[in-house]
Amino acid sequence: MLFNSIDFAVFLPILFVLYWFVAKRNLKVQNFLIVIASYVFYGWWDWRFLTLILFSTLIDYTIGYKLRIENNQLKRKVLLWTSIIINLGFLGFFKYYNFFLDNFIDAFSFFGMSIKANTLNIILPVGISFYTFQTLSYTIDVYKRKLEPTTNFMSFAAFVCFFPQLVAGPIERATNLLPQFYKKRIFDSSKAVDGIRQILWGLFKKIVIADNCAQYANQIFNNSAEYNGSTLVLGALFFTFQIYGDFSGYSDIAIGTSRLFGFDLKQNFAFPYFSRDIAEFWRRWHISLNTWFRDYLYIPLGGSRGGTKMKIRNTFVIFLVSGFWHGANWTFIVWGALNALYFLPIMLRNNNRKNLDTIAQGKWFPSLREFMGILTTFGLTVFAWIFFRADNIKHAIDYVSEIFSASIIKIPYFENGKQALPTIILLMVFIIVEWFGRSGVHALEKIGLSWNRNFRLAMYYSICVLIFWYGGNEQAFIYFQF
Amino acid sequence: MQYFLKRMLFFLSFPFVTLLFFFMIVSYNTKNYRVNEDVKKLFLGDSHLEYGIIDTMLLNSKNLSKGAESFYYSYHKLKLVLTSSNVKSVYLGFSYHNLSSAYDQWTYGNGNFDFPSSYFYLLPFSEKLNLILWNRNHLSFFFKNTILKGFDSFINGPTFLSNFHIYSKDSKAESDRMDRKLTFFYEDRESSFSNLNIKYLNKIIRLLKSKKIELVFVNTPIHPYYFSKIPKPYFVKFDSIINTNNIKLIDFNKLNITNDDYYMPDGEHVNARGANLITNELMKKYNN
Repeated sequence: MLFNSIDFAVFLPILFVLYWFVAKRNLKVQNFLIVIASYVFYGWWDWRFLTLILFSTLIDYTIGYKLRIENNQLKRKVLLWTSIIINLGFLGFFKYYNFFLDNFIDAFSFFGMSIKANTLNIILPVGISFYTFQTLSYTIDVYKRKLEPTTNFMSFAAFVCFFPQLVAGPIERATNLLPQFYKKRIFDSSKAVDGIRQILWGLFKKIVIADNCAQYANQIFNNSAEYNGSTLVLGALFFTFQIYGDFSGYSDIAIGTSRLFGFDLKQNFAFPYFSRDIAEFWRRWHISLNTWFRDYLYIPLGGSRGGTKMKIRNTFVIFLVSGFWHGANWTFIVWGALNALYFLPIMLRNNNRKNLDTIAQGKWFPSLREFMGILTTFGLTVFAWIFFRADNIKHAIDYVSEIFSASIIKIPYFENGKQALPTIILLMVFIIVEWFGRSGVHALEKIGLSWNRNFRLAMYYSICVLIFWYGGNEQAFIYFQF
Repeated sequence: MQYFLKRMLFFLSFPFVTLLFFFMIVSYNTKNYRVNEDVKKLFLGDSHLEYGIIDTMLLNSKNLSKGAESFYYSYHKLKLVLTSSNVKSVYLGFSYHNLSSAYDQWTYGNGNFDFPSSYFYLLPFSEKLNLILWNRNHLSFFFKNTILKGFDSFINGPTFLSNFHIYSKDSKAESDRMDRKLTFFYEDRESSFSNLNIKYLNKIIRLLKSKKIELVFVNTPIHPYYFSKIPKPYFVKFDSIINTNNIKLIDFNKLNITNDDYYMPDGEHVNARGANLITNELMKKYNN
């Protein structure tokens, strides 16, 4: 079920009423309701893959349970690796089987050897990358004794399949989300109202910004050979806002929806395009995934301790794995490598924790130095997104070559280009709203709260009208494919 | 919880009430539509009549045909017009393509969201609900179009109306365009008829009988190439409906217009030249 569908608009209020009115007094019934609702939510897309979630739930619950009573370190290690191999095994099969097979065949043919192997027609189960990492975090934390293993199966099942963040995150840690299923939830009106605001802003990002930018980004990227350099830059910019609107929009809807049911999820995006350097960007973009990699991969590898070689190796590992997590394509790996290259100079000069505060806090505008930092970081990010969006490496190289040709000084032109004007105006409004809302968890958290009520309502209604106006296509979220 | 629900209901009720009020006003406005008292002959149907009959050449006549209008919509349109009018004869466009189940996608809205929205305000409440149900998979588009049509009706008059349209007299029938149209209406639909269209055609017949208004079917000319490729079951069904109900038919195919210059490229509509020809023929029939 898509957040931006009529189905979800019907599903959500029904569940809300059942949850707070019918199951209000009984925590177990509330958790059971969440599990059933989450399975319906997921099964709406393809019920067959529910078996995968169920299997993953059973395996990790059982392993967690055994880790609770097992003190033998070797046996504990075996249990941990069983969970890792099974979970990553599923992920590897569904997501990477064909990629590895194709590259294996290519490698052999490079050395003049021909092998025959058939690729499989595999459908990637929606959200597998997200819930796999979420359940893995549970097993690893239990193994490391950072978390008490649960004995409550229903709570664990609800933690694994919690519908708002099941298919595209945020990837929640067991230490944050699981305990929330043990405690009685009390309805908090102000939290719910803010949740609705966040949902509204998420829908705006997805339907008005991302879906609008998508049509122009797709048009330019799919026919890139026909366009001049300046048009290609415009295409890359459209994609830059498409992916941000799409993914952070999803996160906002997920977090806002969770708040309606009394849950607090971690912030996943913190206005990343206002970052002053690339290290800050990576603290603000897809926070739940990056902190996952930091805690379960980067730090166990040694992190930034050790010599320069170690730092370089670990930085490359984390960015390459992060790229590969996004999909089985060399484009994602190059995207990861590019970001590692951006990040390394900052880290080697120990400048990676320089910009930790909110940019231009309490001021209307950034200083010139900050502004130049934002512009540079944004430019580097846009450049890397070209590789992320391209169909293959050759496509990306051709795209970039045309940008760095003489045609960059030509006026951008593409079919229906004039129709893109309202989108560009909306993008400017979007950037302004995000800028003035940057000190909040989401842009609408603080904006308008001090205004006259009628002005505030007018703003919310305007957003609703824009969502309604641009809605209807029900386009899937980009991160579903990851 | 009560406070939250109250705030939410208040927030949602404002646009809901505004929209409801808007729909009511447009519906009221639409249902007040009347044809002039001097109109005695009414032409109704889809694009075949819309582009075929020049009502300004005919006395006491009005052509209310509209492209892609199915009998479902014609029936409701007719009901509204006849509530207060002096219409004595209804000339209803009726051809073989009206029987094809391909027509249903225009009625239901899956072929084009525009058609159901144009007629929304004309329909009774129960049929409005039907329309919403048919369009449940693209409700947002449907409502958006319907609101736009509502505004349009304030500015330009009811959106279910149309008039005679001129199609360039320089056009010619083209075989590939005719093949495309044949594919759309008849491919894999050898005897797949539109039950909805046939049901509402019968309702139109009964309505006019009950009001003692003459009904005449008008079949505008079809290019011989196109005509020869229409599947046989459509001719059988067409004749059976006419004979069973004993309805008068003006069949312009009997004029045997073989010249490509009288048709639009799709071969099933006449252009301005063809419209002039068949309207003149109609005038002759009137005079007789």
